[in-house]
Amino acid sequence: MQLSLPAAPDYPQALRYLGAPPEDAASRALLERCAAPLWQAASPRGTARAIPTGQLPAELTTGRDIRLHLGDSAQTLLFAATLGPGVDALLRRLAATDVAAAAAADALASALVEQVCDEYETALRREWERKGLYLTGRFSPGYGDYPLAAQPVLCRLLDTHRAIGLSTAPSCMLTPCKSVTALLGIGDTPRRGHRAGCATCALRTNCAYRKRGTFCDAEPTV
Amino acid sequence: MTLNQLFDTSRTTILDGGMGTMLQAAGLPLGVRPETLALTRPDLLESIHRNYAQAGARLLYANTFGASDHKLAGTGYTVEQLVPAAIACARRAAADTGALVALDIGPLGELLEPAGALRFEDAYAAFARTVRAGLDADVIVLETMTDLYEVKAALLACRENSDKPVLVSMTFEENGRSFTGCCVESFAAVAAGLGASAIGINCSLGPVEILPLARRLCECVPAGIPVFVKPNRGLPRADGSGYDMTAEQFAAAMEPYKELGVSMVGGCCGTDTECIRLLARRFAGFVPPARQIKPASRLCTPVRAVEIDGPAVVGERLNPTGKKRFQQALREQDMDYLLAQAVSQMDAGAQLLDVNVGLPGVDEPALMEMTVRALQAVVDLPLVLDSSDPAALERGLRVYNGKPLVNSVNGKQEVLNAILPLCKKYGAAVIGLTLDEAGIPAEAEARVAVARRIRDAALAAGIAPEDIYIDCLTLTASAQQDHVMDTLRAVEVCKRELGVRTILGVSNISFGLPCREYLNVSFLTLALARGLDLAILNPNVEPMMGAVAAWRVLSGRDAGSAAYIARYANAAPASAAQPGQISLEQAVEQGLKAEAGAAARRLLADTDPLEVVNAHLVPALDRVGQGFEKGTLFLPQLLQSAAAAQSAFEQVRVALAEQGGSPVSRGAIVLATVQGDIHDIGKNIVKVLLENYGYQVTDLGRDVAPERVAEAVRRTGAPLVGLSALMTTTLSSMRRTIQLLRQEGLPCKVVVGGAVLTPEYAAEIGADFYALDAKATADIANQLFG
Repeated sequence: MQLSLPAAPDYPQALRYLGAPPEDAASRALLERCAAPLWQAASPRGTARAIPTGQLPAELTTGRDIRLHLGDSAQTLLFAATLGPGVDALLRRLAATDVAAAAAADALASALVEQVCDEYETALRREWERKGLYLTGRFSPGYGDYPLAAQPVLCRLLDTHRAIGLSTAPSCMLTPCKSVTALLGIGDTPRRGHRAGCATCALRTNCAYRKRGTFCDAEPTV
Repeated sequence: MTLNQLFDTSRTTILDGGMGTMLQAAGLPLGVRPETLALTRPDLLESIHRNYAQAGARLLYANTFGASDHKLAGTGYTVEQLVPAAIACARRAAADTGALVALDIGPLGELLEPAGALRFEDAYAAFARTVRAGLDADVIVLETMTDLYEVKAALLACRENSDKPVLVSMTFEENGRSFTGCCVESFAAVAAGLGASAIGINCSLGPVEILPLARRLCECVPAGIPVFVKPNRGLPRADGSGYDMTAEQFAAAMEPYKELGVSMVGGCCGTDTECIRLLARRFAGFVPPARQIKPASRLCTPVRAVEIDGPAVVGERLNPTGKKRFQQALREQDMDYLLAQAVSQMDAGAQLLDVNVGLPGVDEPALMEMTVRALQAVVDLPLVLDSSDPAALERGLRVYNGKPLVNSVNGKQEVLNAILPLCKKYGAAVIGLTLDEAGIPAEAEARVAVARRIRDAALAAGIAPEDIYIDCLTLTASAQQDHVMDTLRAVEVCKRELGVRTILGVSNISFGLPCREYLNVSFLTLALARGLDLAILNPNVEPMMGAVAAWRVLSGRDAGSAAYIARYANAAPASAAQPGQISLEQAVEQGLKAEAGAAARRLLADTDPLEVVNAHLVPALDRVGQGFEKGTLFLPQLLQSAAAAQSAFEQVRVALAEQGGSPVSRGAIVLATVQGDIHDIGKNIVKVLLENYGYQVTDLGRDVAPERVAEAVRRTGAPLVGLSALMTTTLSSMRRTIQLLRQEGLPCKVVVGGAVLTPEYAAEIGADFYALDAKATADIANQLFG
């Protein structure tokens, strides 16, 4: 389904992705220049489907972290969202003409896809809560020890190519690039799920956030 | 039913309904690939097909939608096992009713380049394999396509591996575009051009939502090609649990299609035998009216269909003739230079771009293909493929995503014989130059006679009249003043008497005379008044664009002068556009692109180009780099400075190319994002920084096979190779690339970088250096090259 674009860009998040401090006016001005073309190029879509957790194919429950995340959730919500190929086209065009704008638009697009996912997730959460059921947060392939190989399986079960124009390349990467897939546990009691934390993260040894003593995630559980 | 009846536009043929719907109703378990049922449950497939045939369907789509080697990977079955078995199921079911059987082909499920990693040739090969496995079918159906490039790969695969007629349908959103942005008009132009036997719309939407899109399709599909629709059973419920529309409502919603002249109707997702039965009853014996076709000449890319219905501008700057900097870029395969030229013409308002890459000493066919691929990844204007070499044209035509214009044929029989069949095969429009073995005739009448011969040859080759453009050839006023008016007269007569469209290269008129712009603008205006359709000119010269915009106002085409006002209402006087006089160093440090270019031009007037680089550019960049390292300025400023330096550097390159000097080079470096990975923002940043420091960077792009890296290192002799990878799954490609470089004994160092890399892993895979960021890569290069 078509998803709506958020009212305003998430500049603080994009600044963080760019490695610039929140008060840096020059970086902020560069991002502001990119917002209008990005909003024009983006055509966000999402799709989701619940499946009994017991029926998930083995490839979707590989690894300690995803199993902890789903916990005792009776059902699992498969989730996918994309900004569409127009954003990739914009980024290619900027890369050919203005590398600073390309980097800024890339960061802003990464922030945008998160915003879109958050809003979509909120809407889904509300829908399920009307049925008296609760969702965990999103957990995506590539977090912690959850392999990227789950990506194509998830996309096939959701038929994302047909539903929202999202597919995976043989290297498991998502195309269009600014896309997210995730699993959310569904159960009859409120639940938070498990965050991967740093212990099993592939980037643990050279993570810039860790070096600064912070985290990539707002609420880490190490 | 016979094939002739199927494609007869004066009768209505009923197509079948959804297969997935019926399989789900039969309890197909989660995760089972429907295509495997051809071998595991042939009885089930046969009964579904038979039910559709008995309901009235006269074309049965075999259950082969996902039977491609890409989608079957991991199922344990091959295309050759499943496709014939699935066709046999439909064939058995068709026996009682005489229905025809289609080999049904859906998308491969991966995104093609440039948005994805799947190469056009690999998509072609996958489709060809399915087509060859399905020769038992009566026709081929390509359906539910969302990417026009994939449609092209599939149609070529059908046409080159089978003699069966091909029905093609794409799927659109309510805004009239597919997920990849393709519009209905572009689909029609490309599918018809590539020889589709029927063109349609299926899936995504219900009959109500598809109706306006089908109307547009009916208006632009050429006469004689049937149009078909297979809508879903309305829109699905929000929770994905099915459709609310009843079978009766579905059939009733199909009623308005009768007046469009659609000649085949069926259903897609959610539709079942009841829907088809009611549809067949409603359309029994119905004779569709002729479609209301709006004849037009359209050139297109997927997202942009340019209808040539008044003067349009063809940007002329992608052409090496007389441009040393452009020639250098072609020799170095510097696609970024060409892309910058293309984008600036697009921004200036060009509607089409002429592309000529012919130069002595280059492999023109290979360069044409490379250029077309690079351009269509970045600009969405239709291209005019400009070459006299049929091999170069064919390479460009084959990989082009859209409907291009070929520049050109002429009255020579040999040329017509070589190039017109290519235009026909790939669905291109064509330009004919009014010259032949005897040269360019001076008199208008003689030029019209050549044009007439070209037109007749093009029509005989099967090219539609609206796709024929005639160039009456601008002769220079300085050399052949007497015949300037002949050119204009020829334009007028060709248009009036031959029913063709016309095109002229305008700027040639003033060759050899001062203040060329006065002559160019006047000649252009005269030609427009004679009915010129396409003007080849430099869109960055505003008075030329202004002449076209003004003519559109004066001829009444620009209603209410709206476009003119939009273009010029806020136009500042030209003299006010001068950037302030700041130094090159300041411009770079403040990241001001236009100012940096202007400052470099001023400096170059009396300073040696290398001095400009070493004494001005590099020190400024070093200061920015130090600020970045100290944390007083950040990546965005570093990049803005780099972009400013890049524009200054471009001025240095132009100066050197004009002097005929060798290009600046502190050394050659090859860069690539490794195979399987298309995240290249980091690599692009590294490239700009390295270029800023005067390195000659060969950028192989993204998703680059190890062999291509080795080949580039061999060709350039680069002592340093930079490889990037973003994902854990593509690190193995990085390892394989380094292994190959070592195996081949190439004496280069390798620097690697990317989000998931660590110094330890870099050492483990045999890299010489690990770079944390772009600045670190430049430092490594500066150390290595000294």
